[in-house]
Amino acid sequence: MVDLVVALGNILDRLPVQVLVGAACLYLVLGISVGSSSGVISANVVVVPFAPANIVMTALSVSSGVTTGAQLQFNATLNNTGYMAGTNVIVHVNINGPVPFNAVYSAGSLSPNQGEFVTLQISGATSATGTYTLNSFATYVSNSVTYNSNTKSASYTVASPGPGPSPSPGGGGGGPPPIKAVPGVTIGSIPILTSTVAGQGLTSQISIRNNQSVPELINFTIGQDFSDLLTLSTNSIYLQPGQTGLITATFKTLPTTQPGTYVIPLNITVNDPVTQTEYLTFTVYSNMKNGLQIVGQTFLTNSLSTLSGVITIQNSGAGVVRNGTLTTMLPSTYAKSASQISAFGLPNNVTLGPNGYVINWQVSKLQPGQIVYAYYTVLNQTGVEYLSYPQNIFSAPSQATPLSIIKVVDISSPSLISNSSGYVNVSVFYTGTSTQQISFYLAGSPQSNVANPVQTVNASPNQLLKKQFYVSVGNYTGTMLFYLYITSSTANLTESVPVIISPRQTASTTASQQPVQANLQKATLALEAIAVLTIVLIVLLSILKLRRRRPKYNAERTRNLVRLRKRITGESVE
Amino acid sequence: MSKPYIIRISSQKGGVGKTTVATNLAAAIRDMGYKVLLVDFDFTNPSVGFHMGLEDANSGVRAVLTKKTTIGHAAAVHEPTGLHILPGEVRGIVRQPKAAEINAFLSNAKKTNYNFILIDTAPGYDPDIMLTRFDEDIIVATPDVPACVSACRLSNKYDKAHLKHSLIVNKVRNARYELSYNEILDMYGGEISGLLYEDDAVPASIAAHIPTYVFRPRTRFSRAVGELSRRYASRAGAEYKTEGVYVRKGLFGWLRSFFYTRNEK
Repeated sequence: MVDLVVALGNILDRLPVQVLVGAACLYLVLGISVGSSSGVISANVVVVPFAPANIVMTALSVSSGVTTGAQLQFNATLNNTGYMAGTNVIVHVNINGPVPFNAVYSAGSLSPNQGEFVTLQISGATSATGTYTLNSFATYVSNSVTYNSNTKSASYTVASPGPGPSPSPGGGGGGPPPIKAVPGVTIGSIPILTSTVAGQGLTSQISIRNNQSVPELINFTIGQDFSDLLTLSTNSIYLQPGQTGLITATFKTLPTTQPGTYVIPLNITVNDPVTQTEYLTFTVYSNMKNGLQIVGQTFLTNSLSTLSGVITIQNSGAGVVRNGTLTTMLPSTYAKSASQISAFGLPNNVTLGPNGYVINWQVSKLQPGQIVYAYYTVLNQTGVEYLSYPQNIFSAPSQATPLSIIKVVDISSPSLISNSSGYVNVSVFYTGTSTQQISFYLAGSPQSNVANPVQTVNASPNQLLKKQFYVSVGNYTGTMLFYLYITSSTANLTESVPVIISPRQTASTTASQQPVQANLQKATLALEAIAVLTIVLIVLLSILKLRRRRPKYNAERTRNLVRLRKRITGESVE
Repeated sequence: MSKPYIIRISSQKGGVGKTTVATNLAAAIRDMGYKVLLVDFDFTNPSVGFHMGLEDANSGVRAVLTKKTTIGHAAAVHEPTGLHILPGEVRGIVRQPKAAEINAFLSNAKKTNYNFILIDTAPGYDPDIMLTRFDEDIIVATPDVPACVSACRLSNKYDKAHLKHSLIVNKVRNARYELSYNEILDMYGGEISGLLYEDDAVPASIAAHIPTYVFRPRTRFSRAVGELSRRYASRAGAEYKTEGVYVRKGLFGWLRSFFYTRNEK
């Protein structure tokens, strides 16, 4: 240990003064202990960074004039004014507005005095019109301590998409430079990679700038086979020198449109007969109501040539989604090879296809309302400046297993009052072809209790299954929602069971009514008793009357009558 | 039964209900399946025809007595009951038949194929006439002293003639002013076959020209008549073993005896 101290002293002696001053700022000696062990003096030195990296968000801006459903472009500038490098810098985005939205993104590492320009493409933050406020700040963790940067705010307004010219939601608004250099003309927003669900449509805009010194007429024609899929706001545009014009490309589909990717040729004719053919890639999703939905898609690029993307997938349907597949298509200009792309969060594989890199995500099972995230990063990305945004296709996602073998015939829920109990009766018809075990599970809220929540039965084909659940509710008023899960090896079913719970009479009301009821009962009993006694009395009096009015044996009269008879018959009368 | 069993319904006192007893007993015995002839021997005020709705009968008992026709031809059939009836003559005051005529009538009646012949007599009818021609006499009285004394007088007469007779007390109201059953029994000294209670159904049935036993079979009166008819019918076939007055058994019998006690002394 003595040798270590000596060595440390030698190092300090060789360091310049300013470095030592800086080091004094960087490190804080928390404690030095000197002890004796076997005659050797030793010291333990514990140091922690005193002045870590200082991440400052110096600028924040969002794209203006966005329309509903469009992506929101988010630009932020991060600077590290500290003495240490900030690693794993996370950018937090909190959006308040008609539809709140929160997200975090990785910004990589920032060296001291290094600045970084962060660009995010956020989808899912423009789902409703209105004014939004975006607050953003960055964090990084050092030695289990989280350091926050300052918070920057910006606001933006989301409007309904109109037919007139407006900045392109995705790649417009001063975004990507042209890919193809048609002589004398700059064409923006090309290539267009867009997608929609069969039966719906969307618009995109193409900007054209006349770079020549003379006016120019630019003509557009669409391949004949695709005229039903794509229409343009105009087939020709006349531009003055230096003028920029916009044409709107409308993609439209029918519900019966075959899902898939359509590459639509767009012929642009400038200085006739000079013609350049561009290709618009239009992907039509399956319109299966599988419930899978992308509720958020963000991208982050930084000056470190790293691109990060997060796809938020939610099952917005009512049924469980199984074996769904999400395909994310990245332009081939993003990376030099597939090995530069790493994806995680969901089972996936990355391949290079004719239209770019393809990430196939496997969504094995997603409960209703459940959210999963798919992450990918592109190292040493090369085509960020051409970033439109990656396309995501839910290819043939499967709906939950058909539930036809379990049919709910009836669910009767009781009407309860608070702090009471009742029965939930369930009748289910099993139409399977073989005997199968079916489980019933009734789940309620914390204010409720189901005495027998799980019930299992071996169901025979075409058997009507009746189950009863004893439900108790606590001090709760209103409609309480219970969930009934019916599961079998081949089918699952979820039903919500609302139970109406009425308030119990208050104690004061009960207390005031109790004497009244008691008095009423007493009065009723008294009246009944009086009525019964009266009837009995009448009956007794009638009996007595009947008995009194009957003929009565009169012995004296009888003797006289007998004497009379004897006189008639001539017998001796005594 | 080889020959008709002739029952005379008699009373020295009027208004005791002889015709009512006669018509209802005849109807009840007929209801048992016997052939019954009902004869009205009240030549002064015949009323069987009025009871049975046969006022306009072409012939009656007088035609038979005067041998203008036979019993078989003169008997009118009462449709509701199936009774054969020889009603009295309605016109004016007719002469009383001679004893020889009655004797001949009864001789001829004995030759008919009727099972029962019930003869309704006039009040005060001479009991000495052809006493031996009858098989039995039913004395009808009401629960009052005059009627019972009259019944005693008649009973004494029949006892001397050795004619079987019994008493039916009619129009019993169970009123305090009436003679009780035991008083009547002590006074009469003979057999009391039964009591027939006053019933509103009786005048109603007379107005309907149908015996009460058929008109209102479930009344107390009709049930008593039915019991009496069975008793007299059995007398015709074999020696009837009397069981005294019909007494209902069971709870209702006890209640009845409680309210209408007849055996108390």
